[in-house]
Amino acid sequence: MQSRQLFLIWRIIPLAGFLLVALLVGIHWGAVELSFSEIRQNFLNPSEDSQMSLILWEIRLPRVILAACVGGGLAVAGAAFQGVFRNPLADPFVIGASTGAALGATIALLCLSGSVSILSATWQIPWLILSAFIGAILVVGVVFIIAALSQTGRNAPLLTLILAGMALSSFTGALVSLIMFLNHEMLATIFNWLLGSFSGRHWNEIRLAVPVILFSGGLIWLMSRPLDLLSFGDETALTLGLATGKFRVIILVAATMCTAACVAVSGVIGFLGLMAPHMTRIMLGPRHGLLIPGSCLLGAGLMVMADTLSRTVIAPAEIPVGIVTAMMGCPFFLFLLISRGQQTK
Amino acid sequence: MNQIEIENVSCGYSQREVLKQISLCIEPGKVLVLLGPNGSGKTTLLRALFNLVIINQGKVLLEGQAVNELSRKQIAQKLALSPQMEAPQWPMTVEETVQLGRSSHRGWVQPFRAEDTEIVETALQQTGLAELSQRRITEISGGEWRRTLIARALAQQTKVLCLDEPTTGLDLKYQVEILSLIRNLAHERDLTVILTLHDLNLASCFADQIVLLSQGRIAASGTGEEVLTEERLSDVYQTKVKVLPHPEYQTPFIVPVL
Repeated sequence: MQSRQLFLIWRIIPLAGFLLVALLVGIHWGAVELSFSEIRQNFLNPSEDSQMSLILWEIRLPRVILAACVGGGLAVAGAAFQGVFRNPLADPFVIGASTGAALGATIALLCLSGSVSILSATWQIPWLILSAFIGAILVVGVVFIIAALSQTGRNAPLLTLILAGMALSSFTGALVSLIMFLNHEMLATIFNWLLGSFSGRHWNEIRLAVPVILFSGGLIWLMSRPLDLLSFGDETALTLGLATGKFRVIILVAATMCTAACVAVSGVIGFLGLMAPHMTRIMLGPRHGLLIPGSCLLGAGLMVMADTLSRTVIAPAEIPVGIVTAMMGCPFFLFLLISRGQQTK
Repeated sequence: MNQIEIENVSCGYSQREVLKQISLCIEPGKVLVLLGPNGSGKTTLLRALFNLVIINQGKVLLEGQAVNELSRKQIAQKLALSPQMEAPQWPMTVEETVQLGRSSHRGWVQPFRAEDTEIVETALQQTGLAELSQRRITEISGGEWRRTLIARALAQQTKVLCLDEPTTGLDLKYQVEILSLIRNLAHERDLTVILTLHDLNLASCFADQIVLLSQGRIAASGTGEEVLTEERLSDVYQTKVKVLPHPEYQTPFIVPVL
């Protein structure tokens, strides 16, 4: 069995390789193409006068790093939500954490709109992240309470959960729309933010969001065994010694925190949190100890890839990355629904 | 000290009280079978041992300690349950499933050790699953899944083993094998085994003690001969039965009269 576990750990290496390639391609491609020798040279000897060095250190690197962290964070949060709710269709978006964070961020953008340049001032970003976090945790909390109140049998009401999440997502979405409608001058800022993008992000965003993503992602990884146990249902997890209520709260708070940090720096980027864990589960199996780091690597690679596409397909213009992931993710989501239907038949 | 003492317990669910004033002592090294018609409270009694139902009155004591004062982990180190039904969400392998039985011994972060691997392998062998250990649990039969659940409970290595209808869905060979295994474990390792069964004849062959439940109360408790009488069974199950001597053993043999 030890050798089998080692074998599984080896299987994570291709995912790490995929991320590395995605990062290199992401740094290489863009409005100005950086050759790999230029990347290596400027990476090892950064100079402030060289334009290439500036592009590498101030534009490309922060962008791909942030994309990787957000992609990894959303994938880990997705895996955690799917595990804790025992629902393969759950992701940060479906449960409402993303739209909750969006509402929080929108309100923050609105309140900070008196300032000259939104999103560029360093001091505003902590408020944005905090506001997004509060929004996310409130919405997930309400969804969870509704699901708990409607629990009739011994099993978690999966359908109620999805429905409550959908309903609250629509509701918070409507609130965001209402705010946009009432504040015409803010329309473009909020709309651009909502579509999700890594455009113009710098080391500041990384410094603020990445520690939160790493901390909450790491916490979720530590919760791998509780997540494995929860997959058998509450009652079994209890008889196997897991205080399910406590662990569920820890995992939910960590996943919400992770989602909120991702959304706060990049906007609402859907489908990745759903897609990456499922693809990883097919590759590495369902044990969370491997699934979570695997999803993280895959999600990070996919996000860097999507971001690279978003800024090169119609260059020099950019497509918001949220559009790219949704267009990649939607066919996968539909495939999942259809194949689940086939299975039950 | 008795392993398990149930003192005047009334318990059930928020809307409905299922068990009424149950008192029972369970000694180590014995196989206790809970019998009774559907809805008589067999599963609820098992759930009460795990503090999974609302106890309105009375006390459940594990090794002298009240069950509702123990942590989940402490309970899992004393009692193992093989449930009647369980719907896993993700397709783990048989071995991975059984391995999770070791969780309460290892904490939530600590990796499993060689010792755990050995215990898991023994449990897989005892339940005849060694060959299937790498099979996904979504790809095995109902009987194999039931044996997986029993193996997971065995891997917990507790002093008390609770099995909710362990033989349902098993073919004759495994019914006998599982019950023999459980009885041997009880007698050799001084385990306390509590199981619910529907098959009165299997119960009569394998039980050291039988508790017959009827509408949430204990209708009778004792050995097979003491409990399984024609009059009592006809009354509790509300259908006429005949009790004959077993052709092989000294136990009652029950046949329904059509």
